[in-house]
Amino acid sequence: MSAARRRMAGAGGAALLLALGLAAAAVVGAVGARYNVRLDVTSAGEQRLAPRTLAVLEQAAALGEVEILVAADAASLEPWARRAVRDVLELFEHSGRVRAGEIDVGSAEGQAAYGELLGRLIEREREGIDLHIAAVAAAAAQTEAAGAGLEQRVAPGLLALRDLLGEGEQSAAVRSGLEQWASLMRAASARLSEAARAARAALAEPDAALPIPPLERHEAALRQAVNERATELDALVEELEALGGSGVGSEGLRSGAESLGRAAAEIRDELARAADGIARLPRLDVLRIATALGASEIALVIGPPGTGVAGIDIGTLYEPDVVASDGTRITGDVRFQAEELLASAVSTVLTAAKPIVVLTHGESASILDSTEYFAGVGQRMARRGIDLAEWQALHEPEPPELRELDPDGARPRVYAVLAPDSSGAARSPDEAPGPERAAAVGRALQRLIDDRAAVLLSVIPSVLPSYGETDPVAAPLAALGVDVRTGVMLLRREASARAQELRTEFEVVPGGGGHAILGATSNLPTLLSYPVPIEWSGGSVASVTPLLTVEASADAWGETQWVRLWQTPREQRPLLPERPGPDEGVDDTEGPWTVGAAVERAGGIARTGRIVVVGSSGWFFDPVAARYQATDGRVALAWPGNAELFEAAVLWLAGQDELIAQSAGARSTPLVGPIEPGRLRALRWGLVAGLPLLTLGVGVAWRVVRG
Amino acid sequence: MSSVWAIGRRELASMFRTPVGWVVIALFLLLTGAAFSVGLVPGQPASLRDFFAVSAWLLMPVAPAVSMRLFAEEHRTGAIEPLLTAPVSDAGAVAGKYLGAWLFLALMVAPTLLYPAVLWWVADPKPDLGQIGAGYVSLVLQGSLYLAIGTAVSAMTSSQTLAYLATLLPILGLLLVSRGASDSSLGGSGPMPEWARRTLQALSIPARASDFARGIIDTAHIAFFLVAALWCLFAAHAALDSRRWR
Amino acid sequence: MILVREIRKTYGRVHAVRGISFAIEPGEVVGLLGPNGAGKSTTIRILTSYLTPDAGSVEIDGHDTRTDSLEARRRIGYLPESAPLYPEMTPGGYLDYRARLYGLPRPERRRAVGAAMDRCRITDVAGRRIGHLSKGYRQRVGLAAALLHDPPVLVLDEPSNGLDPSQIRETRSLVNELAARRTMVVSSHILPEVERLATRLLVIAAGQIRADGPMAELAGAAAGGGRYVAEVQGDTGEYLRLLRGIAGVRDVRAAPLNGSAWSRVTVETGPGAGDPRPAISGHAARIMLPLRELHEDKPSLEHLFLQLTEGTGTAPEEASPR
Repeated sequence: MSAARRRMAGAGGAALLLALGLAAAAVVGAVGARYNVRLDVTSAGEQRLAPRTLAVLEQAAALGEVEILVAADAASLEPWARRAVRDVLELFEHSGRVRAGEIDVGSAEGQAAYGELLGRLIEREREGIDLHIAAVAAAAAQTEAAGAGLEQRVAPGLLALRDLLGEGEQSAAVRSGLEQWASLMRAASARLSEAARAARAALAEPDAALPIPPLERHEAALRQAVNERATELDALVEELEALGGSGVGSEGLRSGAESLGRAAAEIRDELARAADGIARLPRLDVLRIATALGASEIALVIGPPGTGVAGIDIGTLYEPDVVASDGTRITGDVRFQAEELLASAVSTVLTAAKPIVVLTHGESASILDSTEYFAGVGQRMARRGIDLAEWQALHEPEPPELRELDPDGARPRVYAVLAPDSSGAARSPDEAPGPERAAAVGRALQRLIDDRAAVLLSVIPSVLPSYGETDPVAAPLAALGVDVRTGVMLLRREASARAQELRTEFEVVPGGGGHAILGATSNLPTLLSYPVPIEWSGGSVASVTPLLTVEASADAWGETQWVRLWQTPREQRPLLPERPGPDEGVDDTEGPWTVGAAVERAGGIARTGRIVVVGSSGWFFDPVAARYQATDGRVALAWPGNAELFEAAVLWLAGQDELIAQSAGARSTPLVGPIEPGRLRALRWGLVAGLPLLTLGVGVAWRVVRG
Repeated sequence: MSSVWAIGRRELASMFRTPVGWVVIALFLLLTGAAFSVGLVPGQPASLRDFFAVSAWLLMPVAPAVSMRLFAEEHRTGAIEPLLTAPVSDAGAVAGKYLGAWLFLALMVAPTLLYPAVLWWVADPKPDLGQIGAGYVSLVLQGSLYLAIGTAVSAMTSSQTLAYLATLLPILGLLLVSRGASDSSLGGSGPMPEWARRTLQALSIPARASDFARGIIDTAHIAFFLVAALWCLFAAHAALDSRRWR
Repeated sequence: MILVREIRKTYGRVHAVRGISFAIEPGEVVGLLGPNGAGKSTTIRILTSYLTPDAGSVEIDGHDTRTDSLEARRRIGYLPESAPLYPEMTPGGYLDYRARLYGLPRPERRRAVGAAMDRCRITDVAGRRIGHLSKGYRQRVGLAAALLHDPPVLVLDEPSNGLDPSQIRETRSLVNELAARRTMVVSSHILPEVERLATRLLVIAAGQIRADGPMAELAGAAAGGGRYVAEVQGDTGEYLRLLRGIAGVRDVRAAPLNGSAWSRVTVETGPGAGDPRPAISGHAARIMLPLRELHEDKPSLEHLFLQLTEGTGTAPEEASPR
C-alpha cells in the first residue's frame, strides 16, 4: 500500500475513532443530563424551596399559569442581593409550576420588555378599562350637563325669584340668601365644568408612564366634585322647598320656588347618578397598582386570567433592613425573604377574597383621602389587593356596607379603630369635643367586638382615667380580660450633651416567636410614640400574645401625670418647670411593658373575632411607616417594622395567616462579623500578599536545598 | 501503573525545578487572595461565590500554561523518543503526563483552602460549608477539563506557544458560547434552531459552574466534565499514536 | 534475536526504507552503515518501536513490535541520536525515572542505577544537573539509561556524534566492554568507528541493503586481494616487467609523480597471494632503482562504502523526521 494511502487510512481511522468517541461522549452526556440527580448541598437548604412554597406552587399550577416578573434597575442593586433573588427565581422556574424571570429596566431591551409587559397587563383588563373609560366619559358628560343646567337654569331661576320678591325686612334676608345661592350655583357650575373638562382631557391624553389614562385619580376627583355639589344642591332643594312652603312672598314666588326646587332636585339626582356610575365600577388590579407600575420598578406576580395581579416593593425585596444581634442595622437574608414574599404574593393572587381595611375613627371629616397620612399605606396595601375604606363613627352608628368594593360580600373586613384625642375641648365649633368623639369610637368598637369582627385597635393616652372615668375606647377590651392602660404613658430619659431629655418615642425591635405576626416582624425596628402599656390577666376568654415589648430600664417608666406634657407643644417641653419623672407609688416603674398584643378569642368560628391592640397611635401612618432615611448611601425605610406589623396584622386579623411573609431577619445569613479596621487591614494584606510570598519563599528554599 | 506514576512524578517535579512553576502559583494566589479580601467586609454576607468566580476565570490562562509543555517540549527536544520507546503504552504516557499537570493544579488550588478557614473564623453564623465544597468541586472539574484539552493540544504540536494558544481558544469558546444561546432574561431565542441552542447551552461552562457555586451538585454536570476530559485525553492518545505511523 | 522482514516506510513522496530484511543472531555486534539520509535512522526507529513500518514486520527476541510492542521494547536498550535528556534533572534522578519506567521494583532500582552509573563512569557527576554536563558525559548518561534494565539488545544510533577524540575513545572502549555479552546494533556514518566496533556490517543506501556480511569478508571483498604501493626513481619500464613476474601479481601500474623523476608503482595481487613486498624491494635493488616508499594499501571500508553507495550519496530528501 502506498504511503499516502496508508497515511490517509490511518488519519481516516483516527478521525473515525475520534468521531465515534465524540458521539459516545455526547450520548453519555445526554443520558447523564436526562437522568441526573440534583443535590442541594447547602447547609441552609438554600437551593431548595420550602414546603410551604411548594404547596403554594402546587395550588398555583392547578389553577393556571402564574408568572413572576421582577423589574428593577440592575445597576442600583447590590450584586449579591441580586444573585440571591435570581437564585430564588430560578428555583421557582425549575419547579415547573410558575414562570419566573427578571427584567433589567436599566437597559434598553429591559425597558422595551417592561413596556411590553405593561401592554400585556392592560390587554388582560382591556374590557374593564374600557368600561372605566366609558363610565368616566359618561359621568363627565353628565357632570357637564348638570353644570350647564346650574348655570343656565338654576342660577337665573334664583335671580328671577329674587326679582319677584317684594319689599320688607324678611324679603331682604331672603333676597340676599337667593343672591348668595345664585352665585354659589354659578361657582358650583364652574367647578363641575372644570372637573368634567379635566376628566375628558385626561382621557384624551394618557399618562406618560402607562398607556392608559390615570383613571383612579380622575374618577376620585370627579366623584369628589360631584358629591360636594350634590350636597350643596341638597341644601338648596331644602331651602327652596322651605321657601315654597313658607308664607313669604307672592304666590308666583312660591310656586316658582317649588318648580325651581324640583329642577334643582333633578340636577342633583343626575349628579348622584353620575357619581354612582363611577362608584359601581369593578376595581381593577392594574389600576390599583398603576402608580407602582408607572414607577417602573416592581416585582409582579401575575395570576392566570380571571385572577389578579400582586406587587412587591423592590426595596423590600432586595434590601430588607433588620437589626442584628448586636443592635446594628444590617441587611437581612435576602434569599429567604424573597422566597417568602414571592410565595405570599402568589398566594394573594390566587386568593379571591382580599381583605378591606376600614379605618374607623372619630373625626368629623373624612380622613381617607388625606394623602399625607395614607398615600404610602394605601399603595402598599394596593399591591396586595387590599383596599382602604372608612367608617366615620361620629356620624354613622353602623359600619359601612362597602357595596362597591365588595359586591358579593365575600371580602373579609378588618376594622382599624383609631382612638381619638380625648383630652381636649372641641377644636372648632363644627367639631365635637374630645370625650364625645371618644364615646362614639368606643360605641363602634363595642359593636365590632360584639359582632366578632376583626379589629386592629390603636390607642392613645387618655385623660379620662385621671378623672376617674373609664376610657370608652379601652372599655370593650376589659371584658375580654385585656387592660389597655390608657391613663399611663411611657416616657424615657435620654442623656444628651446638655441635659437629660425626655423622650416620648420608643424604638422596639421584636424578637422571634411562634405567632404568625411575630414571624413577619422579628428583627425589624418599629417606632411607637406615646406608648400605652397593655396588661392582661390569664383567662379562658381570650389568649393574648405580646407583639411589642418595651424593655425594663432605669430610664423608662410609665408616667401617670402626663397631661401637662401632652398639652405643651414639643419645642417648649424642655422649658417646663416641673418635668415628669418616675415617682414611686404613683408611676409604673417596673418594666417590661407590653405595648402591642394579639388577642385570639376562644369559641366561635375559628379565626374570627381576632383583635390586635397597639398602644400607640399613628404608628402605621406615612410619617412613621413610610419614612425613609439614608444609610451608607442607600435610601431605606427608617422603621420597616411599622409597615410590616400593619400588613401582617391585617392579614392575621382577616384569617389569612398563610399569606403572611416571614421577615428577612427570621433566618440570618452568615455575615462577616465585626472586625476592627486595623485588624481587618492586616488580615487583608496578609491574605493578598502572604500566600504568594510564602510560595516564593518555599520555592527559593527548595532551590537552595536541592542545589 | 508504576510507570504512570513515574511519569507524573517527574512532570510535577520538573514544574518546580524552574521558577516558572512557583511564580504561576504565587500569581494565582495573589489574584485569588485579592478577590477574597475585597469581599471580606464586616456586615456583608460571608460568601466565597466571588472568589470562586474569579478563580474559575483565572484557570483559563493558567491551565494552558501548565499543559503546554507536557508533550510539546518533548517533541521539540526529541525526548519523546526515549519515552515512546520505553515499555509504556501511549495511554500510560498520556495518563502520566496528565497526572503530573493535574497534581500541579491541585497544589496550586490547595492553599486557597485558607480562605474558607478565614471565613469560618470571622463569620457569624458560620458560613455554608456545603456551598464551599461544591465550589471547590466545580473548580477541580473545570481545571481537569482545561488540562485535558491542553494535553491533547500539546500532543499535536512541538511549539509550546502554539500549544498555549490552541488550548486557550477552545476554553474561551466554551466559556463564551452561552452568549450565543439565550439567557435567563426575557428575550426571544433569535433565529437559532432549538437543537442548536440546546447544544450550545449544554457546552456552556458558566451555566454549569453557577449551579455549583450556588450549592447544587448535579450529576449531569459532573458527567459533562468527566466525559469531556476523557474524550480529550483519548484525542491526546490518538495524536501520540499517530506519530508512529505518520 | 532480531528479525526484520521486508520493512518499508515512506514519508510523503520519499521512500525512506524500501524493503529491508535482515536477521541478527544473539551476541552479534552489527554495524549499520550508510550515508546521511540512507534510511539508517528510520530503520533503527522501526526496530525500537518508535515508528511503525508501512509494511513488513520486526521481531525482537520473538516479540513482534506491532502486536507485542511493550515486550519487544522491554528487550531493547536504546540510545537515540544526540541522546535527548531532561536538562533540569540530575543523572541520578533521570536514571531513577527511567528505571521506574522499565518497571524495576525499588530495591532492584537502586542497584541497577548504581551499577549503570558505575559502568558508564558517571557516578561522580550523579548529583549535577544534566544541563551542566559536557556532551561526553551526557552521552554516557544516555548509555547508562539504556543499560538499566539489562536488556539483551542494545541499539546505539550515532554514539560518537559530536564527541571529541578522547571522548570517542572512552565511548568506544565502553561499548566494546558492553558488546561482550549482548547483541548490539551500532549505526554510524563514521567508518572507522564501525570498523573498530562491529563484527558484521550492514550497508544501507537509498533505503535498501547494499551489503550484509562479516566485516573481514566485506572488507576483503572490496579489493579482493592486496594492493601495494612503491615509489621509485627513474625509468620504470624494466621494473614493471620484473614486477609482473612476481607470483600472484594481478596488475602493475606506474604513474609519474608531478614534477619529479619519481613514479608511483601500484601492484595488485589476487586473493591468496602472499606478501610481494620483499620481491618488490628486491627487484628494485637488483636493477638499482632507488626505492623510497613501500607499503601495503590495506583494503578499506571506505572503498567498499564508496563502491556500494556510489550514485546514492546523501539522499535529496530531508533527514528523517524527529
